[in-house]
Amino acid sequence: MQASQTMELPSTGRIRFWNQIRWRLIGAFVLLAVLPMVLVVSIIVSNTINQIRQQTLTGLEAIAQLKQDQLDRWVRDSQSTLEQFPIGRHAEMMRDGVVSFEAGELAEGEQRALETLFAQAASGSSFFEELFLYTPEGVILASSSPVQTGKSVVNQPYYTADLAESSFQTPYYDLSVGGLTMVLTHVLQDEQTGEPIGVLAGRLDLSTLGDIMLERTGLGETGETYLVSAESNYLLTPSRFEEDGYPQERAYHSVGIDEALAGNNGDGLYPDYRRPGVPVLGVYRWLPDLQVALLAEIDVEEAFAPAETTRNLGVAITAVAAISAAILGYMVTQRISSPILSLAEVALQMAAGDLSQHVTIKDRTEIGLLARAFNSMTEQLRTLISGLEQRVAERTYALVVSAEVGSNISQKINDLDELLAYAVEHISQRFAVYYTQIYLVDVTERFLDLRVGTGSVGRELVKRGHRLAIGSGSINGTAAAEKRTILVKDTQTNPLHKPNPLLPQTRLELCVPLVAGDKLVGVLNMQSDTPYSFSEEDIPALEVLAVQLAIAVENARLLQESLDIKEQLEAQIRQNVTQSWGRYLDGIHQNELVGYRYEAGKVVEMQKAGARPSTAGVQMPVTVVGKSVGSIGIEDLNPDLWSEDDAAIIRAIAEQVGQRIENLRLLDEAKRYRQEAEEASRRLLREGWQAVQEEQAVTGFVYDQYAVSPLTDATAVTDPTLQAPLLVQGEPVGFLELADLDSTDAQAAEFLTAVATRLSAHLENLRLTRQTEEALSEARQRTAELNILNEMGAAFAAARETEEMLTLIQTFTSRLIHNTENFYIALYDETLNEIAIHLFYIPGEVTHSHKVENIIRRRSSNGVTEYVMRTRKPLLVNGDMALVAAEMGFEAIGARAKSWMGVPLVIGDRVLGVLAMQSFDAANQYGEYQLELLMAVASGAAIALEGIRLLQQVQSRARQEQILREVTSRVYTAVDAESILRATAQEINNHLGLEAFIYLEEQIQPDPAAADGGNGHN
Amino acid sequence: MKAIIFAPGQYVKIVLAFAVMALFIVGCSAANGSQTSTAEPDEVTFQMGWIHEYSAAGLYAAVANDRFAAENLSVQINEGGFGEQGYIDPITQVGEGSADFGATSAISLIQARAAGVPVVAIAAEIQRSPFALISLAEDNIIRPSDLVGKRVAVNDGGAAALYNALLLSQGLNPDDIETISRTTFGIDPLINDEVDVIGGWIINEAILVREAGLEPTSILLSDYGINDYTSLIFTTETMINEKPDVVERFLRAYLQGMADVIADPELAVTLVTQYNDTLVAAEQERRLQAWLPLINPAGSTLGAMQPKTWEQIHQIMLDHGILAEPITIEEAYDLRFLEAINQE
Repeated sequence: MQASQTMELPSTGRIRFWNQIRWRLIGAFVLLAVLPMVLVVSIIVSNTINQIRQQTLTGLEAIAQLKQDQLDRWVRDSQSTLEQFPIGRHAEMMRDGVVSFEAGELAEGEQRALETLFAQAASGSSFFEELFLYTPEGVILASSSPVQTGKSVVNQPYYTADLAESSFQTPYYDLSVGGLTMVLTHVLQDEQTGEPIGVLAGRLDLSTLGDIMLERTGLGETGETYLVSAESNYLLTPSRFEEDGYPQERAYHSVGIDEALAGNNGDGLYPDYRRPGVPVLGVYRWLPDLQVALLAEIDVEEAFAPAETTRNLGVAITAVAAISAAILGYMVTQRISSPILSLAEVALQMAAGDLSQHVTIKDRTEIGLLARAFNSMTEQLRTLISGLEQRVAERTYALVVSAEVGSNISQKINDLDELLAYAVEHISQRFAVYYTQIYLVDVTERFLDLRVGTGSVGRELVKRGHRLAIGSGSINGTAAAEKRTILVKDTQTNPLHKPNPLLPQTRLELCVPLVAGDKLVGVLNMQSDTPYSFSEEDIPALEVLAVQLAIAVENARLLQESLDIKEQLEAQIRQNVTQSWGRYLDGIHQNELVGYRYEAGKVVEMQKAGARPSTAGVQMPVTVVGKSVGSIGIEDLNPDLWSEDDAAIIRAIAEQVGQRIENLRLLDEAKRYRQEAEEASRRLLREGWQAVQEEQAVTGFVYDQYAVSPLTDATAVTDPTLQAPLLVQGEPVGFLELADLDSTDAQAAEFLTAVATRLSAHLENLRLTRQTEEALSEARQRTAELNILNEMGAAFAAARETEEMLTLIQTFTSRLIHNTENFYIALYDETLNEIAIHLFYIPGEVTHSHKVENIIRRRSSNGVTEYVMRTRKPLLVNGDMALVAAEMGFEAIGARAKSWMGVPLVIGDRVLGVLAMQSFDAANQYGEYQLELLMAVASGAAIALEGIRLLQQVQSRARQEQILREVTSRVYTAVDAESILRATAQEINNHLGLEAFIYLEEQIQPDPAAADGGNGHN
Repeated sequence: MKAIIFAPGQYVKIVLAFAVMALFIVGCSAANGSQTSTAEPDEVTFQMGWIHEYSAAGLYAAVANDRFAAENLSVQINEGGFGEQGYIDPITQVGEGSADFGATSAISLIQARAAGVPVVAIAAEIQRSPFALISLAEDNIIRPSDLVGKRVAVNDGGAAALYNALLLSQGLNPDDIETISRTTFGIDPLINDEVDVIGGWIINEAILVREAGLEPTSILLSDYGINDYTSLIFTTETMINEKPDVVERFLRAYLQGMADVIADPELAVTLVTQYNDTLVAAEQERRLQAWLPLINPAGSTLGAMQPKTWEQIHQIMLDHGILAEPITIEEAYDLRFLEAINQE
C-alpha cells in the first residue's frame, strides 16, 4: 500500500532542538547542576557585597571623620594664628588716629612695612594666602596683596559695622578675588579702651584645604574626599578628576551633595557628580560651621571588586558544572533518544509505505520492550493491510466492472434487447456467476417479465414467457416491491429461495432492483453455484451497476417512445403536407398542376403549353418533409450518363426548390388565413353592431337647429344634401347626413367626413367598452359561482347524513341558480325499483324526508325523471313538455311544466337519482349555463351521497358486529343452557328490538307415519 | 474556600491595569494639586530691558518651572532691545501701561521719578554692580591710583557719574586722567590700544577680552564702595496700590526662578537658547557664571536692596549733575514685598 502522495510526512530531522528529548534532558541536567550553583554563588556574592559595602562605608565614615577633624583643627589653628599675629605697633598707629585711610596720609613707610609684614606672614603660613588690615569703616589699609589695598570691604559678608567680634566667614564667592574664599577676622581693640580700632583679616589658604581633602590614604584608586560649598554648590576643594574637566567654579549635584547641603548626614550607593554619573559608595556630611558638605566616595567598581572576583569565580565554577552536566546528560540521553529516534525513523518509513521495516534495538529497559511491541505491531499491520488491500482490490474491481458495464450499456440504448443481452453476458463473465437474468416491470406495474437470461436456460425461460408477481411471493418479487437488494448467501439454508429446476446448481442468489429515480424498472438477478461468494460489501457496487442499468433501460424506453412519437409526428406532418398541398392545388385558388419547362431557349408555363410532365429521362423528386410534391425532370437524358455529381446538383436544387415553394405555400396559406380572419373579424363586428342596433330602441338622432330628437320615420332626413358613412374597420355602421346645404361645398363635405370619422371611432369605443364591461361582469359572476362550488365541495365532503346532504344540495343549488321555483331531488332505490322524491322545494318552504308524509314515492315508470335516469344525460326543456316527451319517448307525468331542467346523479355505473327543477308558469326559464351548473352540483352530490351510503353501510356492519360480540360475550358467560337461551333472547330484544324466541329440540326424524298423516312429535 | 487562580499572563495584565489606574489617580491628584485655585489666572506683562539672553534666565526658569503658574499668574514676556521706533524703554512701557512690570537700572528709575513717572523698584536683580574699569593685565592697572596718566573711556551719563565718584572717593584728580567719552560698544578701542581702560561690565567686556584671548584686569567700583543697581524689577505705584497681591506673587515667583537658575545654571543656559536660538550656549554660560555672584552675593538674599546703596546712587547723581533736583529716594523703592517673602 502506498501512502497518499498528497500527505506530507514528518521527519525526525525537522524536530526543533528544543523539542527533542535529548536536549530537553540535557537541559534538565544542566539546570539541575546550574541552578544550585547559581543560587549558592548568588548568596555568597550577595553576602560578600553586603559585607564589602558595610566595610567600605565604615572605612569611608572613618575617613570622613578624620577629614572633618583635620578641617576643624586647621580652622582652629588658623584662628589661633591670626589672633596671635604680631600686629603690635601698627595697631598703635591705627589707634592713634590713622583710622580712615586717605591716600598719602598713612606714611608710605608704614604702609609698606605693614604690607611687607603681611606678605612675609602669608608666604610662610600654611593657613593664609592673604593677610590684610581694614579700618572700622571697611577700608583696607594694607594687605599682603597690594592690589587689595584701598578697597572697601563694606559689602563683604564678613564685615560688620560694629566690629563686634571676630568672625569666621564660611566660603563665599569674592568678586575681588574672583573665586571662593574664606576669611577669618580678628578685631583689634584698644588695649586701654577696648574700642575696636581695626580688623585684622586673613584669607584662608584653600589650597591647604585641598591638600587635606586630596590626601587619599585608604581610598584606593578611585576614592576621594572633597568639600562642596553651599555657595552655588561650588567645589571648595578640587576634584581628583579636575584634569578631566571638573572645575571648581561650577555647580555640582549628586544625591550625596544635595543631601549633605540640605543638612543631612548619611551614606549610600548613588551616581556621583561626574558626567555621566559613576556609581559610588559614599558617605556625606554637613559641616555647619564651615557651611560645606564633606563627601568621601569610592567607585562601586573598585569597592566591590572582591565581590566581582568571587562572582566570577562562582560563574566559572557554575560554567564548569554546567558543561559537566551537559556532557553527562548527553551521554545518558544518547542511550534514551537514539532508540526512540530509531523507532521514529522506522515508523516514518512504514508510513511512507515500506512495511518491511524492522526495529533492531537490544535493550533490556522499557525502550527494548517498546521496540519489541513495535515490531509486533508492524507485523500485525502488514497482515491487516495486505488483507485490506485485497478487499480494496476486490471492491475496486467490482466498481470498475460496474462502471465499465454501465458505460457500455449507456451506448446501446438504441436497442433495448441488445442492451439487456450485453448486460447479462458481461455481468456473468465479470462477476463469475453462472447465471444472470433481468426482469422488467410490465405495463401494469404488477408483474416482472423476464426479458433476458444468459445461456440456453435464459432463452428457454424467455420463450416460456416467465414472469413473477411483484410482491412477497418470490425473492425477485420482494426485491421489486420493497426496492431493496436481497442477498441469499446460501440457498440451501434460506427458506425464501425457490429452486428452479433449470438452475439446479444455484447456491447463492442476489436480487438487485433496477430503480431509476423513484421508478421501479426491473430486477437484476444473479445466481452463483458457490455459496457465500458474495457479501454485503459487494452490494454497493452492484447497486451502482443496477442504477446505471435501470437508467439505460429507461433511456432506451424513452428513446423508443420518442422515436415512435417522432415517426407519428412525421407521418402526421406528411399527411398535413399532403392535405395542405391538396388544398393549395385545389384548382380554384391554384391550378392542380403548376409547372414550367425550358424549351427553345425560353421558359414556358407547362399548363399553357398544354403538356403534361414527362416521365422520360431523369426525374428528381421535389419533396417537402419527405413528401413528394413535384419533380424536376430532365428529358432526353440517358440515365446511364447521369453522373453522381449531376445527381447531387439536381438533388440539391430540388431540395432548395422544395423548401422555397413550401415557404411560399405557407406564406400564401397564411395570407389566406389572415383574409379569413379579417373577414371573421368584420363579421363579428357586423354582428356586434347588429346586436347593438337590435338592443337600442333609438337608432339615430336628428338635430334641427333647435333640439336633438330621436330618429324616427317622422324625423328622418329624407333628402340629405351631404352624407358621410360611419365606418368601423371599413364596415359601415351608420350614416351622418346633413340637409339644406350646398352639395358642392367641399369644405362642408370635408368637415362632415372628419366628424363622421371621429364619431365612428367614438361609437366603436363605446361599444367595445360596453362589451368589456359585460364580459367583466360575467367573469365576476363566474368567479362567484366557482367560489360557491368550492364551498359546496367542502360542505358535501363534511356531510355525514343523507338528510343533511339533501339540505346542502338545495342550499347550494339555490345560491347558484336563482330562479329555482320548483326544485326536487329524486333518489332511486334500485332494490325496490322505486323513486322517492326526498325533497320538494317551493320558494320559502323546505320539506325534509323525515316527514314521511312529504316523501313522494312511486314505482319507476317512464316519466321524465326516469328518462333522465335511464339515459344518464341531462335534459333541458324550454317549451311544450308534451311535444318533447313524445319526441323523446317518455311520458309527461303530472302537471305540464313550461320549463324543465334535470340532471342525473351518477356515480360509477350506478344512478342514484335526479336533480330537477321546473316552472309551470313560464317557458325558457333555464338555459345551457344553468344546466351546466346543475350538472356540477349533481356531480359533487352523487359522490357525497355515495360516500354517505358507504359510510352508513360500514357503520351498520360495525354495529352488527358489535351486537354480535356483545351477544356472544353474554352467551359465553352463561353457565348453563337455560341461561344461554335466556341471555340470547334478551340480547336480541335489547339490540334489535325484536321479541324473539329460541328453543332447543331433538333432531326429529321424519316420521314416515307423519308423512302419511301419522303422529309425530312436533 | 475557592482560590482564584490567574494565568501568568493575566497577572501581568492585572498588575499593569492597577499601575495604569494608580498613575491616572496620581496624575489627576497632581493635576488637581498643581492648581492653586480654580480662578482664572491674573495676566501680567513683563517688559525686558534687553533682548533674550542670560540676564533674563530667572524669568525663563520661572516660566519653565511653573513658578508663575503656581502663583496663578499668566505672564507675557516682551523682549526688549531695539524696535522700529528705537530702544524699547521699559520705563516708558510700564509708565504707559503697556506692561505691568519691567527691568531697568536705578539711575534710569530715579530719573523717571524725577520726570514724574511713578515707577517703583521692588527688587534688585543684580545686587553688586558689574561696572568695572577694564584693562589688559599686561598694563598692570590694578587699582584706581594706576589710572593716573592713562586713557580711560567711559560712557556718559550714569557710568561717568559712577566713575567720577570713584575718582573722588579715591582722592584722584580727574585732570590727571585722560577721560574719554566711550561712544562705541565692544572692546576694540582697548585691544587696538586706542585707550588704556574702558568702563564696562565684568559680565560683558571682561569676558569679551578673555574670549579675544587676552587676560583682563578689572577694577570693580563696588570694591571701592561705589555700588549701583544696574538691573531692578519695578512696577508702578498704581499697581502696588491696587494689586499688591499680584505684585507680591509675581516677585515671589520671579525670585524662585532666580533660585532655580542658581541651583542649575546649565538648565538656565538651555532655557536661554530656547528663547534665542542665535545665542551660543558656551558664551551664555560664561556670562551667566560671572553674573551669578552679582545676583547672589554672599551674606545677602535674592533681590535684596540696601537703602544706603539707594542713597549713595541718589547722591552721586546729584553730585554729578545727572539729577537736577533731589527726589524722595525712599519712594523710589519698596521693600515690603521682599520682607514679606523672606518671612515665609
